[in-house]
Amino acid sequence: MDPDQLLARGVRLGGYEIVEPLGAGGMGAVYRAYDPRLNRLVALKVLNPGAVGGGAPLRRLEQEARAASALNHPGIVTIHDTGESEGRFYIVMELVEGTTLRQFLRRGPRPLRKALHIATQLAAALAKAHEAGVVHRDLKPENVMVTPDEHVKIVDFGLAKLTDRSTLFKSEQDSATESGQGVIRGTVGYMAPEQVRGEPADARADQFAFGAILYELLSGSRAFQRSTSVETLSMILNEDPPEDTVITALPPSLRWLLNRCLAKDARDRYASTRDLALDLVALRDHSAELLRVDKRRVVNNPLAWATAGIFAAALVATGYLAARTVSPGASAEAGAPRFKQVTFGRGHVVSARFAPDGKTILYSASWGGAPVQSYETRLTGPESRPLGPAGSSVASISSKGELALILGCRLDWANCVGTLAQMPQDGDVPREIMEDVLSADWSPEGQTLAAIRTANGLYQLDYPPGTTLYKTASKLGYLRFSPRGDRIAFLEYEEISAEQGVLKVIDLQGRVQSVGSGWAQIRDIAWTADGTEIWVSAGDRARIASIYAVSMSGMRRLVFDVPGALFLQDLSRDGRALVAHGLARGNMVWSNRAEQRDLTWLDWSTVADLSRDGKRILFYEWGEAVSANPVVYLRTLDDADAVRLGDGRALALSPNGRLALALQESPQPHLVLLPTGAGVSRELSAQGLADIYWARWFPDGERLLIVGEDADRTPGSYVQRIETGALEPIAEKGLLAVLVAPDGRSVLVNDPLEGYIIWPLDNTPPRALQSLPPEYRPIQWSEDGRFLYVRDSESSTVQILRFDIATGRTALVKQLKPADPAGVVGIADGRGELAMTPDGETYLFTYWTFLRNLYLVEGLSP
Amino acid sequence: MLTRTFAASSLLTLLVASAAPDLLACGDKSLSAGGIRMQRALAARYPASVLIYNPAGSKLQGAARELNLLDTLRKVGHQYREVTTAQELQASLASGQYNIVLAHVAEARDLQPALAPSRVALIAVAYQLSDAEAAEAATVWRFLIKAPSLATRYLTTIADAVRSTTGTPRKA
Repeated sequence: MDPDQLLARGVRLGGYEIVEPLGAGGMGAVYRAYDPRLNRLVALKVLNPGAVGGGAPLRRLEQEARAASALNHPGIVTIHDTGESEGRFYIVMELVEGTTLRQFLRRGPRPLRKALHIATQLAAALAKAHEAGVVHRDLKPENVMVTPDEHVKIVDFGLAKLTDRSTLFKSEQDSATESGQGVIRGTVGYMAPEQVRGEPADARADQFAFGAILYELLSGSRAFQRSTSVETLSMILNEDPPEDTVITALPPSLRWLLNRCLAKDARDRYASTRDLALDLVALRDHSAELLRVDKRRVVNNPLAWATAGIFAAALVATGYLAARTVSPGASAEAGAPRFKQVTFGRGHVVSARFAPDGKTILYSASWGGAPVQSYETRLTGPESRPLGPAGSSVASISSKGELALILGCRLDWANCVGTLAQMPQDGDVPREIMEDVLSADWSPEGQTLAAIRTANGLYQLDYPPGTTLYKTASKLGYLRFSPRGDRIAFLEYEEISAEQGVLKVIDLQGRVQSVGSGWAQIRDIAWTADGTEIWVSAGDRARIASIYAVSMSGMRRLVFDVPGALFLQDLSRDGRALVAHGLARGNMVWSNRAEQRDLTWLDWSTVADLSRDGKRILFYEWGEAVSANPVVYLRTLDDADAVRLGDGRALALSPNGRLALALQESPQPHLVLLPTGAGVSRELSAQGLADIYWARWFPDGERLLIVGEDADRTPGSYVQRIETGALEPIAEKGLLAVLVAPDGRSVLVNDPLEGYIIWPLDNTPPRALQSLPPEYRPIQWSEDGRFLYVRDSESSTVQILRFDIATGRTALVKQLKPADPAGVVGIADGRGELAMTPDGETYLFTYWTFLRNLYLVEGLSP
Repeated sequence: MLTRTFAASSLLTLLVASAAPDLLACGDKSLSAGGIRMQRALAARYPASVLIYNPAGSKLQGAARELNLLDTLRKVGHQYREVTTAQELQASLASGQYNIVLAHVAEARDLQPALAPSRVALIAVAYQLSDAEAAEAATVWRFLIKAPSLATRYLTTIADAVRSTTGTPRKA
């Protein structure tokens, strides 16, 4: 751009005052500007006249800019405003102090850790945008800002898609060309092959550009660069990036990720940018270990490099330990862990142990939704044979070949609780020993069993049977004898419902020592053969577990990590491991009289509400896809993408469907109203509530029913008027309101001892529903106010009953269950998670699946 | 009484079910009414002001430790005061501020006559008893807490005892 064309300081454009130019390119110029209305500095991008078409294209550009702005992600520059003044279209953006990634890269290649720090942020922002259906299509270092503290922010999101002129995205040094067939959009050097060919480009084009940037971050040189644009384009289509020494020395898993991003065929890239982001996070978090492992094991060993590379590729690619194909032809001496898949069913492996011969594996599993069954298999073939009675789970096998089984296994997530029994490995009639056992192990000499069980509501560790070594109200689990038999390791959880626990060791005199804690979740125990370490499955985030080793002095080290969750089952004397690899999902099902549809969106879809017509679904995701930070979505029954409404846990749709009520936990729990269409979100004051449990709309759409705790931590029920924010307590303290009557004049409250009460809001006497059992969970009030639809929470299936308020009679109206029972571990367990229309015709529920198979792992360092 | 017992056992079921290990790892812990939230609601609905009678040599001290009693009472919102002599106990009862007395089985029997005419409920605590003593306590005491036991269980006993002193609170 001609400097004379730049706007001078003080010039006003649509209410913004130019301060100074920040940069200029083919599409226009960016200025530091002042917004006097909000007294803040902003970045003002002024497009050249003609850079974008007028009329509809301009409106579309504006819409797209706003959509991108609504992404609300720290890695994406926020767009405050758009407008047009004197024929100039402008975009007002968050002003980011710092440099472009291009300038940052001029400092040369970045150390691995720092490069991954930048790349993970970039990938997370891309993933967020792609999940919202926004694609950049012109990602390049010039469009990435790096702040002084090295946080990255992507600019110009969404602008490429709707602009009609490729010139909009040409930078000074790069130029795009147009083919006779299709218009090329993007910047040479970072364009994906499909963009070069003028073909439609989707999120995977951004992955390619990301790969090119990552290559440059790591190597300091461009992945695709020739002396002319045409030659560069040809290189993108036909050649790989140069063999750079830095790149070839990278950990194989990172090289593989890079190659996948830069695949010529878009189908070979990631199906989901979130997967890319997750893989990258895993690599970043364990970059030190990766480098250590590589240096120790594979230096100067090309075969080992290849093995490790292929292995890591398989892990990252599929999330499964499909390692029987991981290292074809590789020998045990190669050094990388090798995996052999042992089970192949659809369901989950509950437990597994090596038999004393080291070649036979005993395991228990629930396949296809059937009850748990124990099996025996040999490493020479995939076949398994049932072992013991149906409903039994393998707890342990002694050095003499005596099995400890848990009979009548009641599955709790993927763990068994039942009656401990013993049986010879080749026997068929077990002898019962004790009830309510969660975990058991044979002493090393194979004479006596130790067990964790519940009795009188407490957990106790018994050894030998009949003698309690340790008793507590805290939950215990996962007991294992040390190899010498002088100590027993077990886990103690801080709360019964918690997954955070402490690894403890108790000697046979009952002296207890804590040796490990601090993980968000911990489970599974096995001692190393020399008794110096205990290996556990643990993770810093729920649902993600790796294998760690803990020494008796409390030192811990990461043994192995892959995407997904690893569950250690057993260690053999020669260092082999049995590991289950799991995939957990939250699924969402819509159902009416005629059909049932799976409407699961990402990996942890959780039901919140249904519109009155049953066609719009409010839900939230809080799994790995959103880094465990809850996000509210709205979707319809067709194949259209779900619309991201904002952050938080979705609670309820307003009666007119225009607002979604959600709970945000940070910085303090508060409610937020998220528009389902055009509009802006609005935070509601918590008015002194210290915690909010749940909330619902009144039928007038002007008031909310809120259940939470006041500043004294006393639970109660409240009505909040949305317009004024005024909060009024209703009912008495300790009464938790669960439903609003269809006329809005009363609420259904729960007395913890007495059960349900209809509580009028007009000072008329309350009415106890004595015939409605307290264990029923109310779901919906019928339109005419005569019935309550309730769930029998004590039933193992989801049974919806209609309770007649006048007569106290109940009638079964619906049973809900997933179409595929494989791996199902829970159906609508928590509050919410099940919604229905007031006419009782349409239902929506969440169920949870856990699929995991068993693998034999060799080559893990003891 | 049967209804009350059913309600209490249902609540216990609900509490235990709500706190089922790992199940809530899949469901939504935040919006569940289980665990501490339900216990706070229970305490708010049936608020107890507890006099803990702990004379010298009483086994109540050990029981309270096993139950993590004081911390639990505080967390859920109950009021309490510990007294160590009969005189102190009488003076506190005379203030009319307390609706529950908690005492070990060994001391509770002596307190019973003094409390009978008042609207104060006596909860006996069974701890370190022989099998015969435990069996007898189970038949003698209307409100009995065994130590150790789960907080959900003894908090329900406390709520039940509070209800016996006032009846179910109802809207005027």
